[in-house]
Amino acid sequence: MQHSGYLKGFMIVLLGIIPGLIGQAANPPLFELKNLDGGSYALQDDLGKSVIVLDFWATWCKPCLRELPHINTIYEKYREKGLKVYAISVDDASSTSSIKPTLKRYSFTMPILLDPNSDVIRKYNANRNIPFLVIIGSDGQIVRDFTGYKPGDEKLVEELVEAELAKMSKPESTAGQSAPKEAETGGQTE
Amino acid sequence: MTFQRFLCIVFSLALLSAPTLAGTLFDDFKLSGTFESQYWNHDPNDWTDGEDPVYEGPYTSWENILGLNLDWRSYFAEVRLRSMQYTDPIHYDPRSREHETDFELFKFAAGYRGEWLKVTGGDFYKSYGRGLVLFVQEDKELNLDRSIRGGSVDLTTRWIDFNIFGGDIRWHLFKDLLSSMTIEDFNIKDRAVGARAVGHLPFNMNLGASYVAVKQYEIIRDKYEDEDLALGSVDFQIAGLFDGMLDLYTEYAELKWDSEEPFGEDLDDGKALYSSITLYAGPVTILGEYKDYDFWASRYSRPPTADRDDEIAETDDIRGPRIRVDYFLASTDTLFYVSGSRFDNHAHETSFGSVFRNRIDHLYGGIEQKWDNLYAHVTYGYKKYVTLDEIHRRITSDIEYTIVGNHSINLYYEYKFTGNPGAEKDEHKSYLTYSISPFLSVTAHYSKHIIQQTGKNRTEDEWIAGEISTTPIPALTLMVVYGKLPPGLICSGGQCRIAPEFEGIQASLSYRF
Repeated sequence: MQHSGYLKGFMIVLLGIIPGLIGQAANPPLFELKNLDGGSYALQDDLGKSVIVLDFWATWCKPCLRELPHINTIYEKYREKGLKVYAISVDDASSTSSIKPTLKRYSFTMPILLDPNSDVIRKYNANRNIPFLVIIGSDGQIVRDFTGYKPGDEKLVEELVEAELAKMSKPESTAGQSAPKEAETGGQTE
Repeated sequence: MTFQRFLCIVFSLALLSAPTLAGTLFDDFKLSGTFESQYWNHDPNDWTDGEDPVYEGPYTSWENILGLNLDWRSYFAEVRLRSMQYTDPIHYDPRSREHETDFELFKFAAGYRGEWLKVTGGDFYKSYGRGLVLFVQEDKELNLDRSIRGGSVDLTTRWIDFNIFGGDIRWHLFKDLLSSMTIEDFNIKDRAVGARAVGHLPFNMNLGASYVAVKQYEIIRDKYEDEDLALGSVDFQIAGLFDGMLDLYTEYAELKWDSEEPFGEDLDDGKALYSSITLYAGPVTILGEYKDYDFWASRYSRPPTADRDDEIAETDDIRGPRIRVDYFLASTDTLFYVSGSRFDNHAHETSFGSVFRNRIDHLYGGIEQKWDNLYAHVTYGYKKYVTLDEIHRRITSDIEYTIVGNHSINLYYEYKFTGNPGAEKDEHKSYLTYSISPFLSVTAHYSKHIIQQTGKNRTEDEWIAGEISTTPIPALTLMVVYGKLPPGLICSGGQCRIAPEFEGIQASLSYRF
């Protein structure tokens, strides 16, 4: 491999990490997706108003089906407090028929969105490995993401969701006091 | 410096400086992005024994993809820049002309996204219905990325959804020897236009119609030839009939060539039917599917396989039913399921003048059980190609145990047997993962393939690999794999990915900002 090749590679690496180095805020890419009933959901409708959890999954992904019941439990527990959860299926068109039976099989109640062309996950997760979970705070910024599922992830997700919901319910002047909670749980806001 | 490279650099710098400049002007200006870097050193020990050393020889590649997304009110723009360095010092494929690209404008798109109108110009993926008449996507298993470069318009109203698109279909292979091949290298210069309308009727009913026209170009005897292919379909769906107990979907499609022997091949016009019915009765879910695909030979189609979810089945000429029943016992957190199918084909006369009939019987089932700290999933599958007298058996077991707190182990084992009058093949696949949520997972992979052909020596192939995946800080994932891995779906370390066959070292970095 020629040296010029490496140099060009490093240049594009630098282009990739510059936004992170200069502290560019972690904005969630906006999107609009269909749900199972044919209706539409636009992220911008909830952004900055609610705490949002996006969980990308597929019917053929076993770790996803290990994670989703926990996320559904979190959804049931905190939905009344303003938590929005969307399980986004990246099953392509040919396996669409398997999505709803999978949901019914596990009695999931959280809303399901369809990303059959992987257009949205591609914007959030470069390698598109799943499951991939994103927590968006009520300030409209990404709080944390999780690539893959490891037992115990759900506890951290719940702690982060609780902290974000607490921020939402507190007056703006005291909202910053919940930040140390994330440090305790290993989470880092960006 | 080429004009395209200059344009890429200017565009990238403009995008990166845009937030600062625009932040003061527009509060709702949002920039986000992803960055992925992958280093692969593929060095198979036995590559000289391969049937095609051009495709199986060693290579080193380093690929970086920077994705930038820009949102301002209802407008959006996205760009994917790619650099690719690549070496194949011993053998190189003369069809692959470029082994190094820098700041390549790999994909781009821009447009408007409103409440009822979406307009996109640039690169996009597209599928219609259940993928019968149109499926232009990335397919990691086939190591193929196909997208449309052109324009697409979507209208969404209360009563009708409408889409129209047109453009050139671009083909890319990625992450292997032919990574830098372009559309010219494939000798494919296809162009497609299409439209789809879906009417929303009362009682959760939808009626859809799709039409796609493809102009396929290929080099035949050193000159370009083209064929026109037209595909059309109608589909009907009812969701939640009888108080949410029943869903129905059916789609019928036809495919027509403009000549009797497209590209000199003996291809007839095709027909395809796919139907599914799902019944939800308390703890029981029943999914029934029926497919009938005949001469369904479009490049841009991927109909439902009506088969095991993770297998790609025959889709050109096949027909038959499949039924799957699930029973969930909530009191013990146990799921039982069983699936059975019987397929055959239309037994057309082959190009050799013979009639070939095939029948496939397929049965599989499983039990999934959850306890407090333990999860177990076992499956058994049996498939018989009756005419070929070939049998497939598959047993899997997946056990996950939470040791304490956020520490857990996962043990997966899979056994596959394939037997026909000419050969028998045993495949063992296993991995053991130790995970510490959410930071680290360490996996050891071991697979073994044993092939015994009639009248020949027994051959064995071992696949051993180690893998470390870590998330040291949120938004950043690092992964290193060393060893030899078989191709296909790999679900380890708590995540699934689809990858080609590999031997050597891989390192990857994935970052979101």
